[in-house]
Amino acid sequence: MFASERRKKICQMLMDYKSVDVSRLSKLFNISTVTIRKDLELLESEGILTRTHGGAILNDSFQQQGQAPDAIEDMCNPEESQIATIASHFIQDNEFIFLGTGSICTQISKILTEKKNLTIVTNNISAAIHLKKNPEFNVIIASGTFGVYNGYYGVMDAFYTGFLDNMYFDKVFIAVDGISLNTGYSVDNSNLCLTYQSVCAKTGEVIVCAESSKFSRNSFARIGAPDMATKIITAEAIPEEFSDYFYNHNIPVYHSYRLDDIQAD
Amino acid sequence: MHSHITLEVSHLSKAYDSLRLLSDVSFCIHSGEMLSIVGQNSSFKTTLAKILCGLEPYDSGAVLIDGGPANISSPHSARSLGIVSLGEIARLCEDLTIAENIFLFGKRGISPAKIKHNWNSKKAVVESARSFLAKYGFGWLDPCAAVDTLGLAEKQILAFLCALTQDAKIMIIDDAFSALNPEELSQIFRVLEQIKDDGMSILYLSSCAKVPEPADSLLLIQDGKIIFTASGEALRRIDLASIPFSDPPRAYPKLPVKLGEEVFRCEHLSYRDLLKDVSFCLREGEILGIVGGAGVGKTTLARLISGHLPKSGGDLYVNRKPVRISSVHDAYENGLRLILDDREFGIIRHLSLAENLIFPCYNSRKFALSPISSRKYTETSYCLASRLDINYFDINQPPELLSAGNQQKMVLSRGIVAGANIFILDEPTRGVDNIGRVQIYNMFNNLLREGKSIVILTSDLGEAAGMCDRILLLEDGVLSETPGAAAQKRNAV
Repeated sequence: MFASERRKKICQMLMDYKSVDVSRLSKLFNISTVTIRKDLELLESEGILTRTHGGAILNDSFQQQGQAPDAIEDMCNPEESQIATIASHFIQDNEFIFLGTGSICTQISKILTEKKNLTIVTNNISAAIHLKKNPEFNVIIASGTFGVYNGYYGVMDAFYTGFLDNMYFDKVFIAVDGISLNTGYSVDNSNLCLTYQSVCAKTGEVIVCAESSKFSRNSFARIGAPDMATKIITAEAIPEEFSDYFYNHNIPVYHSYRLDDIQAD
Repeated sequence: MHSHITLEVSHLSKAYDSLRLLSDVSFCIHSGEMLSIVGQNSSFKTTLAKILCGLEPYDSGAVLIDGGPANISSPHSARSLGIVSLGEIARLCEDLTIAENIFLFGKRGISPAKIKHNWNSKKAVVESARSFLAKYGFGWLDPCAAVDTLGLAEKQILAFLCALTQDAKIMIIDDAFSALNPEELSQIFRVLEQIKDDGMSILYLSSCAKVPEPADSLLLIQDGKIIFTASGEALRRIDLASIPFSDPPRAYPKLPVKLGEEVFRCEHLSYRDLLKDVSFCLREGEILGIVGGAGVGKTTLARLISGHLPKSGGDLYVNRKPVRISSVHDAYENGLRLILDDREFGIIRHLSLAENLIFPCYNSRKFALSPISSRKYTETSYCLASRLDINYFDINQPPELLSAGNQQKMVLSRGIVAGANIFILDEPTRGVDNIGRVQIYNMFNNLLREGKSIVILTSDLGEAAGMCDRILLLEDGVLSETPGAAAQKRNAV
């Protein structure tokens, strides 16, 4: 892997374990200890760590950054981040959109800062908090039982009382736990499934976001058939039969390539 | 007039991995008959032509010549079976004269007795060539002219005439008259009528919307399948433009990207008499489509703005500053990169896949002195192949073994790694299957998101409409906007 990637990985390990060991890193990345030491020197000069005998420890200032007080699990992995970036391109100013629960949609909410005059209905409380950092946004939260599910704040059993009756969304973004050609899209939680079903009936554009690991998976509660989505956003390439299916059913599939750091200097 | 069947093709099919090139194609041609096969580009009619010339094998079906099974395994065996072929690129000896070319390819003596006696009589050769040319109505060509001074139209005519000197009974013409003007074309058609009367069977493949006059029957081919046939009287009454080419549903992943500043502009570009006044501009994050029929100059335009061909006139501006692009190096310096449809300039055939991928990484002066560690080279090549999602058997395999889509991604990666800003692609998804197309389109999206710009020159109208921000039509050497309906575009092409 490239040096920059390796350094990012070292940083991540520091955040998780608070200290790293030179000989273990060199075995892990399969490179010489000299290279590792050079990486650690660079990271020390950037203020991230302090080198010790045989390794390094994370600097205090960084330890605190890792625990942001306003969310439990606000980190998302690179795949989810790429999906969110692509999704954000579909949101235009002055639109009326729905954001679902999960880390992908939370990530989307973090990067919408430059849009104007958006009205967002969501059952994702973490997303609502991020969205409201922009005072111009009109943020509407679903009513229902508030809780923490799989590490994120959300309202799962919403919209039973006709909350949605007079609403129509320009776009609906949902993240699912399973996509299968036989059974369609599914999520783990059955209440969430009912919520998503009601929401998807109120729009012309259902954008399904899913990491590649969700394909060929069947989760507990089925939202709808595979052709109910109008767009699919994923990060890495998906299995061929899915690609074929979506192509033949006029459903564009967006995925991403990590091309940003392969440019030679 | 229609006596025996000279060529019969029965249930011919060919597939490459998951891409079906030809599906169950059947037809037959009698002696003295001309069969016209019409198909838009990417209908795989050229694949059919290549199979019949012995350049490509087929998977199933049969080809019969004069009623007996024919094994067309190579161009040589095709020739010996009496098949002669003409393609869009005229195959001639460039540094010889017209007269020498005619006699070079001719099998039998079409020369008068003088040549038999005086082998080296240049005058005799020229005189015979002159009478040969006049016989077919092309007396205005000068037999003493060297072939490399001729324009494409004249070369195509010459290639046709050379084909007449061979002892053939089946002639396959694949878009071989794309550069001819209407007068020259009607003369060619007159000659075709003549040789039809002499018993020649002609297979005429083209993408134009008009049925050629000498044609006796017609086939329409799309996506490797025959979708329509007609013959005899009914042929005269057909209006090809009205036949619905059913457009299969396609899901083009067009990503809306915010456009930036103008990054490229060309004004009043001209090239010989093919391109007269071409002007367009391009912004950051924009993908521009240029459509047009075969031979109209799309590839030429692509080569002009990327330094592969010298322009005759016009100005180029990069980032609003005038630039001089007289070589490929100039183009690279300015961030322009060309990727052709046959990947001609992209694939370095004698290097492996790994070497092709890392080649641009080690191009800068920094590495001129330091040795390249082999571990770093392997790591980098694996990393690039996985980032680009290239499907390979072995990282050291020769690049031709990759599928078309993977080859295209490999070629694109050279531009990406080298840091190009403006990508010019000629027929980016020709020969690529659906899955590969989606991958390439998404790669475009990635580049556009980063602020790069793309120009695609394509004859696939669906692709242009589905993926491009703007579409321009190249016709008669000039670019124009197309507000149009699909029918309008289709008629022009």
